[in-house]
Amino acid sequence: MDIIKIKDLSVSYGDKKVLKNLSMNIEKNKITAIIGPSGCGKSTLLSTLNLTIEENGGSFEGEILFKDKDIRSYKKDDIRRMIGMVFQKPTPFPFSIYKNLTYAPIYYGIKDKKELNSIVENTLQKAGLFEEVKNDLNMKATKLSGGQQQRLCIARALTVGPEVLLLDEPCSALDAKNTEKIEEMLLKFSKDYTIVIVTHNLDQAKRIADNTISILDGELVEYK
Amino acid sequence: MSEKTRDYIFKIWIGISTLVVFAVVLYILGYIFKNGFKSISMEFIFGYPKGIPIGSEGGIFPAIVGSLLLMAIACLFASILAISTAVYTVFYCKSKRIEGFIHLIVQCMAGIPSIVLGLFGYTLLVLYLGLGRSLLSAGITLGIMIFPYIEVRVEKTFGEVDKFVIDSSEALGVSTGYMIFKLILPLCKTDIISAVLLAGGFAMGASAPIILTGAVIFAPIPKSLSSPVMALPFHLYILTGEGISLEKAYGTALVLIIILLLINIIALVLNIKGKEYR
Repeated sequence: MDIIKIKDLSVSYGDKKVLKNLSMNIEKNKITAIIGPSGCGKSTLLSTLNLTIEENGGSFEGEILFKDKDIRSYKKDDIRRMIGMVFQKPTPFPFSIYKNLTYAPIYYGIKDKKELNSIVENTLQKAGLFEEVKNDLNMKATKLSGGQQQRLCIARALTVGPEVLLLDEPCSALDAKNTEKIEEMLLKFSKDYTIVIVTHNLDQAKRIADNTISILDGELVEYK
Repeated sequence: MSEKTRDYIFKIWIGISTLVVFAVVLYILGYIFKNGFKSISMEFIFGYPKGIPIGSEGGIFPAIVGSLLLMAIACLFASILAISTAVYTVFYCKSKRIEGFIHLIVQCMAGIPSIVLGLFGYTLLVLYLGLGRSLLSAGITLGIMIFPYIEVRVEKTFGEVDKFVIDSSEALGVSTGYMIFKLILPLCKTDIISAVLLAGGFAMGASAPIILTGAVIFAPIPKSLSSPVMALPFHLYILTGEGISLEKAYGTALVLIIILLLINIIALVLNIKGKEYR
């Protein structure tokens, strides 16, 4: 089943067209890798999928269906709850680990301590970080190592219960060991989540992806 | 002239300039310290002005309290407005033109001579709004004076927040308001406090805006916001201007400088601490 269907998508920043007439589908509970050289529009595609493109001054034409409904018919908040995103650079908020993970749930109205605690524990466990930090949940998140920070960011994206997780070169700032950890984790995720990962590492795409999409100069060149 | 000699001359010129600035500052501080030190005593700091003419003996306690109160009101008034303006320009304003217009106004405000602000405060607050010559009128006038300084620095601090941090927050779907209160303001807290303190120090040292709006010669400690107030720079001005006591004037100047130095040191430490996050 395809959770996201993209038809004739063109994205532009002002006069500059970054993506041209892209059509493709993203399968539910599979890992889709988007590869291509830097500057080819991979990240733009991700930010279009969670609608942050508009806040960054871009616009898009064409059709994106999320669960067979036009993505623009959803409320922005809802889209971002259902489609989470993790960026290249680990961006822990400068609070405790616990507060990083309750930041969004509290916004969505979860006040019950027990519920918040279980969200924190669950997401940390999924991100494979729980055993490492369970005794220092009040430690500042910025004190974690780079790899741990990135896994915390993945855990934070999971706190709002998304169905799709977009990852924009999540391992580009990490060493081989941490990259391996994150890849292992993503492979486990695919039974609960749909993963779309941007990477310029072909080997990484081969290792983890069920489907691979190549983009060159804003156009789809290969899709398998 | 070869590049090498030019470079050499430039270096000497920079060295001399730095030396001159340091020498002047040190000389002023040293001179005031040397002359003011002998008037400093418990009675001077915690006493009221006495003697004939008044001020030639006794202390400066009402002026110290007055200056601190003025600074507090100015900071409160200015920071609320300045932080709101900065939040609007950085996070809500979508039009480059409106943003440019706001910057223009803020810059113009920074360029207004302080005595003009004093006259403005006198006309609007003291007469038109009927607040009278009071702590409140003078505090607000000083607040208007320091508003642009706080706004510019706070806006800069907001601009330095890592874009990926803001993107991450947006990607979680939370509203801009929630992000500002829960993420941006806590993140920039120390820098904002530092900016407000520096501007507060600037307000404390100013006398022109308060002469017409709230400062009254040898006023006691104000009982309410509508009471007149005495301030250190104005006290200093009266002591020397009226030829009352040069010795007490040096003492007053020393106390003012020490308070300002303390404020600046606190602001500097906070500023360094704030940088740790970025």
